[in-house]
Amino acid sequence: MDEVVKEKLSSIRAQYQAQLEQKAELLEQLWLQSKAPVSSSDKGPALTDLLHLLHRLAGSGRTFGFPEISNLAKELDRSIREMDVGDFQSDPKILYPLKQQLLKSLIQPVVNDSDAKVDHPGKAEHHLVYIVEDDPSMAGWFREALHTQGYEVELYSSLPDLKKAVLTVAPRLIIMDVSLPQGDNAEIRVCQDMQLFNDARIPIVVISHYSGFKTRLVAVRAGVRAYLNKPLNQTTLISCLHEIVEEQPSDPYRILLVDDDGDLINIYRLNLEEAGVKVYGLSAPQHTLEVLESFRPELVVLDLHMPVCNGLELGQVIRQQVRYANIPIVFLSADSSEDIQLEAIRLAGDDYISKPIEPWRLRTNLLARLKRARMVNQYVNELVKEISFKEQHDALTELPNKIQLENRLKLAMRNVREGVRKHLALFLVDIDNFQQVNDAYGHELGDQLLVDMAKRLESSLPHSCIVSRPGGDEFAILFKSMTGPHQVVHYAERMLELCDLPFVVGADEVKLSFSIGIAPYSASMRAIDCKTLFKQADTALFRAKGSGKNDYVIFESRMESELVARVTMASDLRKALQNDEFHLVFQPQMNLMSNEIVGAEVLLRWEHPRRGLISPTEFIPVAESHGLIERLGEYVLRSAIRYLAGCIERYGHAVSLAVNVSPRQFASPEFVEQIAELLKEYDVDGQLLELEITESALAQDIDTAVNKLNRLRKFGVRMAVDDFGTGFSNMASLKRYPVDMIKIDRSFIRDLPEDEDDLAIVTAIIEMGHALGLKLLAEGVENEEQMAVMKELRCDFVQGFYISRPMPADVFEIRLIENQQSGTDLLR
Amino acid sequence: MAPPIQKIVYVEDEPDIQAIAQMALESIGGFKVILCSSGKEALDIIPAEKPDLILMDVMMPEMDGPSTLAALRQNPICQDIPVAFMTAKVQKSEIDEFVQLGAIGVIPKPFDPMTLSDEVRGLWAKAHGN
Repeated sequence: MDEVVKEKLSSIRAQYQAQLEQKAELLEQLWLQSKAPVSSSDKGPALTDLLHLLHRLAGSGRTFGFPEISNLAKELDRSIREMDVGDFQSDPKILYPLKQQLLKSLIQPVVNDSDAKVDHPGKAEHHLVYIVEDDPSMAGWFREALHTQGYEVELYSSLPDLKKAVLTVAPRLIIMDVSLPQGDNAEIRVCQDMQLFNDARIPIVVISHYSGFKTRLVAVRAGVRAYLNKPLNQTTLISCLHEIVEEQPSDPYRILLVDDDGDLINIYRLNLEEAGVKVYGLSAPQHTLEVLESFRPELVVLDLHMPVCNGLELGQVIRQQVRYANIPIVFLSADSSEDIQLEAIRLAGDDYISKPIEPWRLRTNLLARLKRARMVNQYVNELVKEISFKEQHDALTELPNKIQLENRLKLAMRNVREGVRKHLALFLVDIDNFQQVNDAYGHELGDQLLVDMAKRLESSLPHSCIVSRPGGDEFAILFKSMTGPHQVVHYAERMLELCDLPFVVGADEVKLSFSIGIAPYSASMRAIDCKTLFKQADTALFRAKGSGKNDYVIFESRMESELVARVTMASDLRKALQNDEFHLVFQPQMNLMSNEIVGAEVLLRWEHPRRGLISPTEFIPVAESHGLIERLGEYVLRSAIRYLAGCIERYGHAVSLAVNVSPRQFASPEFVEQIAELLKEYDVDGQLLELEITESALAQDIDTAVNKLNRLRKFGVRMAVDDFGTGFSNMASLKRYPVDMIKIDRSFIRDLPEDEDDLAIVTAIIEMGHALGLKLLAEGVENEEQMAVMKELRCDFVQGFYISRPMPADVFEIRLIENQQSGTDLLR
Repeated sequence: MAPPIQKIVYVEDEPDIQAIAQMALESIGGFKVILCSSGKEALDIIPAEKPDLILMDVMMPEMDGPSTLAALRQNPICQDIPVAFMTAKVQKSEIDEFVQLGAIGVIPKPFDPMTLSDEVRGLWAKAHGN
């Protein structure tokens, strides 16, 4: 070291040292003051100052060459913080010895110049490790792992080379990777060959692929100190080496000794401390519980005979508390009665050691127990970690779940409020049409898709943002720091681009899109809490879905009123069902061959008492999300069948009606019975009823669906596949279902006759439908040209504004009468 | 390759720690060190000095390290100057929190005066590597 630097350093140290006495005085003073209870759980100024002083000493001592000061101050600081404030103030005696030690280290400071090196053992002869490894990449890994811990490493690629080297300079430790391509038996031979090292008392650590009993037994017999399995992680390797080399774990074991004989405690303490164990000697058993709490020993040794209470009683007091059920208790007594020994073990203990015992024997006994106790604790801790991981993560994608997301969001919102960051943004991302993928490919492939999606999101977004899956096909992404709106837009667009590449689902490639709702947050939005922000993102998401999907919408406050409107609408819907505010309208369907009206599709209308007529596109999604769709569906079915009955009564002629059935309605196990009962109740022929259902509803459970369709057919009820051509419908799968008609979706008709693609699709659908023996109906026919195209393509039926808009019952009846007068039968 | 650090502003309220850190950074590390005794002072000095790096104690009276950092980040001149914290509490959660606040790293206290400069260089290189 540079002489000038050396001089400067020692002068700074001298200055620091000169102030230590003063600090000792301050420590005494604050200790006394903090003892006096101020008020209930209030720390009081003295205790706060005391903790502050300890913190400073902990943070400075070692820097100035006084490691003991740092260590003791840190320990005392931690111990005080771990205690209940009230407990500490009323009785700080437990920590008194620690405080005294610190005081001593301040008044008579011990300088340790080489202290900085303590954590990085560098003495070569003590830390020379030989490694036998024939895999160069593993060899590199070992070298790296051990170098960082201050070990000197020599690598050998064969056993004979190693033997030669050992005879020249004996290392502190040998690590042998015995994973041999020949397998188990070869490894056994290698282990047997290790006698030489055993004789030289060099500890050997074996690393192996095999974990079989035979190999392990041979290793044990060959005197191998540790047997580690591959794959190996650095932490396991290092802590194992440390324990062998230093003969103590890196984190010292902690023992609580309770014995009324202080001299005895001191002897045991000395001996155990030599082995690197931290010992808390307690001669007053009544303080045991407090010490357990603050010192957290890994093993408790109790003297059986003490004046205040005997060890047996004390053991039971400890065991009364579940959290101490795991601490091994060892009794120590001169009492040789076997009955008492047995009783002690039965009531609370794990073992019984007879006094007098040589300290080294006690040490060996206790160390073995400590080692085992720590292994158990480590195992339990790992399990607990795993459980807490599961609690906070989604099982499928392993992303944070809603609970964790909310916690992180709350924290991030606080940071924004306190000015640490300017803005944050919560993105809710929903996969458009995910339900259809699930229906078409099954849940397993659907789940796989979610996992793929999670990976895509995670890998393409910055590490600082939190990608989570609160549930279903929805992802939530928290950007804890946003510089402004342009960044929000940037990320939203990046996410939409994630769907540019198709996803592989089973053997197919599926193209998906996202709808994204975004809620930004900034410090000015104090009144908004985490739940509200979620709602805002949800409202924006709803808007994104409504605006045609594959889009993002950033929340604006005017949407709030829409949110309120949705909630209000749900409650209004419930009332509407009770107050009969719904009615049906009828959109006629025409046979193209005969130009006759053959029936109508029944549509639902809601006449709101204040708002007037509300469109189904507005209230159906609300009914779906609020669990009202089934009741609405039932209402429509009943009204339609009642109308059919009325028609026959009034005109003596039958009319055919088509009724839409929601996927959820169709999935109900009672669905077929419900239809049968309604038909029976109103005495209506099933042939007059046609049910329209989307293909995705049929695909949910194919066997059950086919069964239902067949049963409905027995009543004469006809089935039409609605919205055909959208989503994942395909002709091939139609063969499976006993259906009568296909309704071609209006989106294919809209741009006819100009759009050639649509024309080709419609032509194909009609031809294939006919080939399967099905009837075809084109929806949304709005002009003469479209009508002509449909005629030319030999479509069977049409429906749309060109024929007629949906009309109220009475107007429809006039049309029926006209038909009747012209002598046409409405039954097609 | 990261450009070399030349000027460091060191914010620390304890005079004795200030002294030894200054010595370590100047005599051993060869940096130019400007000392500040409080967060407030740092806010005045840093925009004028425009150091390459700011080294800051976490626990300071009145304005602690994290709040000083937050305030610095409000000033466009200081926005991009890397900040490393020094603290006696090196819990993983706290380190994470500091890094989230925008710190490039944390140097645990008590530090070793002989290796402090190397630690600073290490953090600097890591920050530039990223």
